[in-house]
Amino acid sequence: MPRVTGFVIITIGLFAIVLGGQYFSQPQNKAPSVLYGGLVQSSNSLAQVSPEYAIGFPRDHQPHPDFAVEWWYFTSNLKSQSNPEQHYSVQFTLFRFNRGGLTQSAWSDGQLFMAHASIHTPQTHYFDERFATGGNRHAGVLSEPLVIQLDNWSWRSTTAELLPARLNIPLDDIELTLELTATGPIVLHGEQGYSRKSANGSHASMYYSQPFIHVAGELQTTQGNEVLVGQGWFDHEWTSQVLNEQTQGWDWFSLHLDNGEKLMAFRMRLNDQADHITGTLISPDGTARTLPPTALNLTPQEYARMEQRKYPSRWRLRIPHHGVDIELTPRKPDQWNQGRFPYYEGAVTITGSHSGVGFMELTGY
Amino acid sequence: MYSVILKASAGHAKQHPWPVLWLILAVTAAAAGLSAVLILNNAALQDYQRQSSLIPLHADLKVAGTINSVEPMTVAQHRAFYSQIRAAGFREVVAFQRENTQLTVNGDALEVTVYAVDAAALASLVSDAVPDPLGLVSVIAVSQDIAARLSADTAIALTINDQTVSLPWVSLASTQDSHATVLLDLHAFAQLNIALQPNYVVFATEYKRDIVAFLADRQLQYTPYTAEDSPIAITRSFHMSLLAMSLVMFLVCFFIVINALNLFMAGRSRMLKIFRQMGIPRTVIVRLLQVELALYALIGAVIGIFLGQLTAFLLAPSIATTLNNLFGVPVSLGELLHFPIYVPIIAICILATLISASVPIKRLASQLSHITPSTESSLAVSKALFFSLLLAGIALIGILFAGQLSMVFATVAMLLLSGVACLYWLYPTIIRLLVNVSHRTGPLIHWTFSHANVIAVHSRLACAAFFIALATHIGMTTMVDSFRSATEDWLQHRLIAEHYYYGDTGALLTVKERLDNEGIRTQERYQMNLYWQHENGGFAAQTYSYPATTEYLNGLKVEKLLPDGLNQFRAHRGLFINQQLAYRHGLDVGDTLSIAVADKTMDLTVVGIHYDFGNPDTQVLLPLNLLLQTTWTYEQAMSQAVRVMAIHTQDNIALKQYLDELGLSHERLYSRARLLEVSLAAFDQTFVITDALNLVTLLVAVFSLITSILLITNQTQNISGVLRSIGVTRMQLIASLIGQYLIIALITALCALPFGLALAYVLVKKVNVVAFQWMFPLTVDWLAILFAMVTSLVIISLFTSASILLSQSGSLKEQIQCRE
Amino acid sequence: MIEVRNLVKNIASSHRQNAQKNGIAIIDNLELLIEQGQSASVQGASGCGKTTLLHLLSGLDHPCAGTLIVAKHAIHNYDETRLDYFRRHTIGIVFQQFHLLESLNVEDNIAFTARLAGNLDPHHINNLMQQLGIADMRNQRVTKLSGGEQQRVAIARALAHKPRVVFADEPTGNLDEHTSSAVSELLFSTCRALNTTLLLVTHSNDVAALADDAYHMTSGQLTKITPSLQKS
Repeated sequence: MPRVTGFVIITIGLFAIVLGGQYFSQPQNKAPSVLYGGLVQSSNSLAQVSPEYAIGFPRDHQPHPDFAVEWWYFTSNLKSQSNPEQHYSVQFTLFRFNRGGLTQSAWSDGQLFMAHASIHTPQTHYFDERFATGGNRHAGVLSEPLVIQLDNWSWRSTTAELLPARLNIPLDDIELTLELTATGPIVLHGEQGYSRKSANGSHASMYYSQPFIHVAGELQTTQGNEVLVGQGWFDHEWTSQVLNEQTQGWDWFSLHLDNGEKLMAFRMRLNDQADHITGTLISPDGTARTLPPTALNLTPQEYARMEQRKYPSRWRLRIPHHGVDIELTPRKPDQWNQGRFPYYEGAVTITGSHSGVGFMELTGY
Repeated sequence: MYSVILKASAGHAKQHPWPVLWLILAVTAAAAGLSAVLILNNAALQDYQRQSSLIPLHADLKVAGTINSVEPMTVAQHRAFYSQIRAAGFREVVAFQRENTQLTVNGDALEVTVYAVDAAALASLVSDAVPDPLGLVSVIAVSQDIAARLSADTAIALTINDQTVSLPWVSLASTQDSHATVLLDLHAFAQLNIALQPNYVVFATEYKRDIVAFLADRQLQYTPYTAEDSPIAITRSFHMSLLAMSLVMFLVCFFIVINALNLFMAGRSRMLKIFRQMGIPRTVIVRLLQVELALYALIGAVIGIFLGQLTAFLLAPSIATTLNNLFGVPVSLGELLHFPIYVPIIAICILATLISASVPIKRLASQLSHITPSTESSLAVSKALFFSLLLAGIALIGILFAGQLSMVFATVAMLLLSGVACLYWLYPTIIRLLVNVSHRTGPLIHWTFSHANVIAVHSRLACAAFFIALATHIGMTTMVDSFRSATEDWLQHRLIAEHYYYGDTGALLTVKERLDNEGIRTQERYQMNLYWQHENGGFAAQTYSYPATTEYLNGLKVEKLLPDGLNQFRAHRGLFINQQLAYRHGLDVGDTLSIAVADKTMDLTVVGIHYDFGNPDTQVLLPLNLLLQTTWTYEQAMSQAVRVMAIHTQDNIALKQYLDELGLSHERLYSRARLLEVSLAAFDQTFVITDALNLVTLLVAVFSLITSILLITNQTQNISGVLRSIGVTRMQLIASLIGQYLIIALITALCALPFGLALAYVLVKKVNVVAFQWMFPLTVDWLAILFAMVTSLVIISLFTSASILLSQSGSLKEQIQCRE
Repeated sequence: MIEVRNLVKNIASSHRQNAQKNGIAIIDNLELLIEQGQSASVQGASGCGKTTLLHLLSGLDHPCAGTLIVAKHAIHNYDETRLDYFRRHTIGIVFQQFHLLESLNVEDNIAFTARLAGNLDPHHINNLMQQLGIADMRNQRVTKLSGGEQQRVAIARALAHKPRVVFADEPTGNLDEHTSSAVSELLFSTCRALNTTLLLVTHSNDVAALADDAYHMTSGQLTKITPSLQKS
């Protein structure tokens, strides 16, 4: 009898160790395929970004088809006009993928577009993912006027310039319509838009933002209409050099400080190099100051769990030189976008030396 | 106590195996038929569902261009339209193109269906399919049967429209389809330099009115998507009729079961009476009897399922071909092992056996004296007549008013039941007549007829089964033969020329030019999808050119024709529509159809409704010159879809020579004889299964009658003895006994004849119309019917005679001694 | 007249008629003589062979040895055709279970044998029916009749074709005592009236006593019972 008991205990113990080990282990190195499912291949045959390139508008609002990946990224922190305690957040992104070796056909130009629409109400999260091939009018970017769209989701400007624009996202049960106006200028990151993302320069992109967007609009649901108002941040980035086997993932923050300043912070996690942290501090008049890795400190404070993933949910950002010591806390516990390639994208509140609202994106977990 | 009974039962069964064997055989037959059909139907359903999971087979939207234009949409226009409809939010509309073509794998040619689909749009809708549509942007997916043939260095090439391109991609994924399918992205497909003619799949379970409104707003002509077009809906009638036939067979088999049970009970009754006398309670006897019968039913069901499974394997290729030919639905019927079906079938067989046994068991349980056959009281006879007329009346109402297939099948059932009731009225009526007539003739004849009445009562169920099977056989055979002769006749008329060449426009026109130089007369056929308007609305229909020459017009077989119709057609004022179109849109001769051409409207009269057997689509025939002169320029016309050309020459060798010179293959050149041959072969193959089931049912019914006769011969042993002792000679007695059974069988067969013909009428004029919306004339092949009737009667007489002869071969003394 | 000499019938235990086999001789050198118009009864224990004797005499069975002459027909030599003729014209049989043709009515049942023999005499049949008291049931279905009535019909049928000999195999076996005596009385009287020889097998002493001669069958042979023994 004791023998059997002993055997059973040992077996249970072994099981516990095996299972528990999984439970408490640190997140593992993951191959880049988890990021965009093999749709992105860092290929030398595709165009490479360089600091020599001069960004110009409205030209560079348009796609750069020779590069591997490109996105037009809009995030927005909103409040209900009738009930300012109710917070809403919106994300609309159009991605473009060039898988290399593309040829034209009678049907399309071979580019692949993917769009994400994410709307958080206090109670629910609406998320949808769409795909389309390029070369047809319903997916991609048009120039006169500027239209960024996939199927019936669209960012429609009145001119070839970015703003003013109307964002319209109909989903199955709801419809979001936002009027976007500029309250400040477009900002180039890094060296005139050439944004270095790793110490040795192996990872880089062309990157500009429009962080000064006033947002006002309406969310129509089956329960009624909600009038929303808030701030928005637009990113446009293109590269062939960000996603390869060395990329684990990144953490990105876009922050609206209550004093009118804007802050972009970015941590690139790489296999063969140390994490590379960069940022841009933007003054209320639009002057951008690139923050090198030494100038800022971005550290996770707390980890949370989503299924098998363990990820840093609460962060501390310090820019000593500028007296910034803030804590970034997610507004809602689950702000994961569960598409084919899940990632975290959600609103954060800013506390500490400064207050404000912002967005946090976590990939590669 | 139980073991005693069971042992005795087992011993009895061993000594008298025949009733048990009949019982098991009957259950086997029933289970075999039912399981074969259920397995095949299920395999087809699996195929439909699996195929539908990624690409619904027939749920497409054919957008043919704006209403005012007869030109087909260019690819640029398609792309523009597609962008519009997707930007309007109709994410369920996905562009695709389907081609039935050849895939060459290491030199072997396979018939495959190629689906080129907008993978990205599909990925927006579907995320948990195998393979993930998103993967299609960089791979080609093939069905499992093709994937099995491939390895790293396999050379694969696709042949579409006489063009062969090798497929360059190395990575392949496997779909869940079992039918030869190739699935790839539309962009990849377009890079193969194959002409793009996209259609649009609509992934919706109900008819989307807003899509239709969207199209109507843009004045686009289209064939709208309806849920009715799913392969499940299209083939529903086929599967229902298979099921119906198997149910008929099941029913007929269970008539045999009842007979076998009667035989069984008769043999068992003595032993069971002894048990009762021994003091074993009735309930125990009954319960154990039920257990024993359930066991036999189980054995029969298991064997039957095994046979049914085997039959399913054998019939699957034939049925797959039928589904493909008849409905254009490609299936492979690979999923034929479907164990979950076994249990319900076994349960049904056991249950049906026990239910069938309930009456004989009840009778056994309460009987004490020897069985006295009761002759029909006149009240019961008139009841039979009443029911027969009532059911016939209901059937008539059904024939006149039934609109749905299930109702029509109910009508058929009513008709058959009416026939059975009529039969029950006929027996005593006719026999009584014969008895009265023969009263003054020889006593044996008189007794023969009067005893026949007794037999009729005893073998009622078996005769009903025989009646149903024979009537069904007559009905089905007549229908199939009518169809075949109508088809043959139609083909003979319609094929005016000696040769026909199929191909794409370019090839055909090249050939035409060459043949024109040689002075050989050709007649090409133009076709396009045009949008027609009539007072009740509009529809899109395949419109074909048809020559207005006397020769060709005589070849058109019409159901209806206006008196001056041909002249109107020649004068470009009239057109022909096929039966399907007439039924589906409520059109008749004399109605007006209009078409908008450029900025004018042409009004044409429907001058005739022509037969178009087997075509699932609607069809309009226009005079050739009308199309050429008024709708297009000659160049436009020449670039339209010309798919087939008639060649008026018998010189096959010369034709092949010309084709060789032009570098075209001979495969698409058909002589008239060969076309006829191929068409009729396809026809015959389609009906192979029906014929088989039909025949089996008839055999089953014949043997049911024989079992019943065996039972009765048992019971009439002592009567034979009496008669012999009175001085009737052996031959006289045998003749009398055989005669009695033959009278019954003959009455049954004769009654089956009119009902069988009525059934044929319903099948042709009602079932076919409701299911397919076309109809062919009913022709009765008396010879075939007579053959079936005579053959069944001959088989019955042979077996009857054999059994009677056997029963009379024993000694007289033993016959006399047949005490109970 | 019935004349039987040296009649032997073996029954093998497997029911095969094979004189070579060692079987049980159920009839062992039996002798019998009945004059035309006389009646005789045979009694005996169950299984003693009474029915076998009747079968042999009515041509339903073949003897292993011996001669059988019934109404001048030497039936031990007859083939099947002649036996059929014999049964049709010369004899009538009354069975214990009546064995009427249930699909026919009373009149048709009775007339059956006469019609078969080709000597239908409606007058004679009417008389028979009167005598047997079944004249007013002539159109009834035989299944509706009581046991006694059915047996009377059977008797009429056996006599309708004016046979020379009538064999009765336990004709009252299925009847109650009262009916039994009535029926047997009728049987004997009718036969006597028609000068038909009657051989009757019975286990009832009372019925046996009605016959002119009474026999007892044991060990395959017949022994005449003296009147005094009969009365006891």
